[in-house]
Formats: sequence, C-alpha cells, structure tokens
Amino acid sequence: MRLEALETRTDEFDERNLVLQAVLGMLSAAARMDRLLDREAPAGATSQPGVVHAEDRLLVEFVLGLVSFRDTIGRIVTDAAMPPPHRDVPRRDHGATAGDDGDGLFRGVLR
Amino acid sequence: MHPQPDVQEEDGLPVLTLEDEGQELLSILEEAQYLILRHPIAAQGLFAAFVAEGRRYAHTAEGRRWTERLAGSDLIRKGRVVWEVTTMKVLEEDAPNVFPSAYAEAFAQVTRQHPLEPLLSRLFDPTGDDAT
Repeated sequence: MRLEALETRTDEFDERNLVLQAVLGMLSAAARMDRLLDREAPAGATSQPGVVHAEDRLLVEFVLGLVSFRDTIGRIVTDAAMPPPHRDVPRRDHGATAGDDGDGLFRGVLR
Repeated sequence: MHPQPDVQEEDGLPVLTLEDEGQELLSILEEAQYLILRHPIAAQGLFAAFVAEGRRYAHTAEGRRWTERLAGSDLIRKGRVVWEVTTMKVLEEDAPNVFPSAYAEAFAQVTRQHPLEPLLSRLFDPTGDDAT
C-alpha cells in the first residue's frame, strides 16, 4: 500500500517535472533566440527597414511567430511567478494580438 | 556525434561547444532534416502555426518593429537559403485554426481551473458533450 502511494507520488512528480523541464527548455530557447536576434538582426542595422522580399516572407513570418510565442510564454511565466493577489490583473489574450511591451517584459524575466 | 552542451556563460545558459564547427553544424542540420522527414505532419503543423501567428503579430506595433529588424538582416537573407536546403522546401504555409500562443494560453488557463478534473475528464468524452 505504501509502495503504491510512493509510486503514485513519483509519477505525479515526474509529470510535473516534465512540464517544468519543458517550460525551462522554452525559456532557455527563448533567451538563446533573443541573443541570436540581437547579434544577427540588431535593431536599426538594416538599410531598407521593413522591406520584406517575397521569397523571404515565410521565413520572416515564421521568426515573427517565434518572437510572438516567446512573448506569450514570458507573460505566462511572469504571471505564474507573481504572488496570488496580483494574478487576476486583466491581461492581453496572446502575443499575436498585441506585443507592444512583450520584449522588455520577457527580458526582465530572463535576465 | 551530437554536440555536448556545456555551461560556460555568465547567465548559466547551456552553450553548445563545437569542436569541428562545420561538421557539427551539419550534424545539427541533418538532425533537423531527420526530424522533419520522420514527423512531417507535426513539422508542417508547427511551421504553419508559427507562420500564421507571425503574420498576425506583424500587424502589431511591436511586430512591425521586428519585421523591420528582420527584413534586411543576414539572418533572413542568408538564412532563407539554409532554411530551404535544410527543410528541402517541404514546409508550406497553411491555415491553422489555433496559434501556438493560444495553446500556451489555454494550457495556463486550464491550470487555474478549480476543480481541474471535471474539465480534463471531458477530453476523454467521445461524444464531446459539454455537460458535466
């Protein structure tokens, strides 16, 4: 009986731990992506800002999707780390709809 | 064969140490190719979902700023060649119903449900009946 209880708790721990590992993995990947973008696509470094060639469009949109998702994960983690009284502050739906300050917010979580 | 992560940097993030940089980079690209070929439906779904989210994000102020950063960068100009070779151009845009951020938001919102079990048990309801 005790062994069953222990196994149950171990299973629960593993399941929770997998989520934790996945979240940490996403945070690590996001931080790495931040540094990569700072290095390879620094702000103001382009001669033709905003001009996306047709052949580049899919890749640009894919990277934008990653950036938006990074913002969403940052908000979720920030929210989860807040003390309970502050958790019910109205928030935006997700990164693709509005990310005006997501960049700075997420960097605050990671750095 | 796979590069071994090693913690070196100040912020403690794992850093890939590449002994034979060219060969190791090719190994990583080959691994990506293998994943796409082994899981084409999942890869296509993920790619299309991120493209759709990126397209929507591009209409926000922050998204426009990012678009300007990315548009003229080597990351995109040269990266497209790397991308097309690595993915063999098998990944296409699609019209997913849900964006990746929506999955993340939904996951977080479900964790705030009290009690949690009745909601989750409906995932296993073959009739899709909402009644609890």
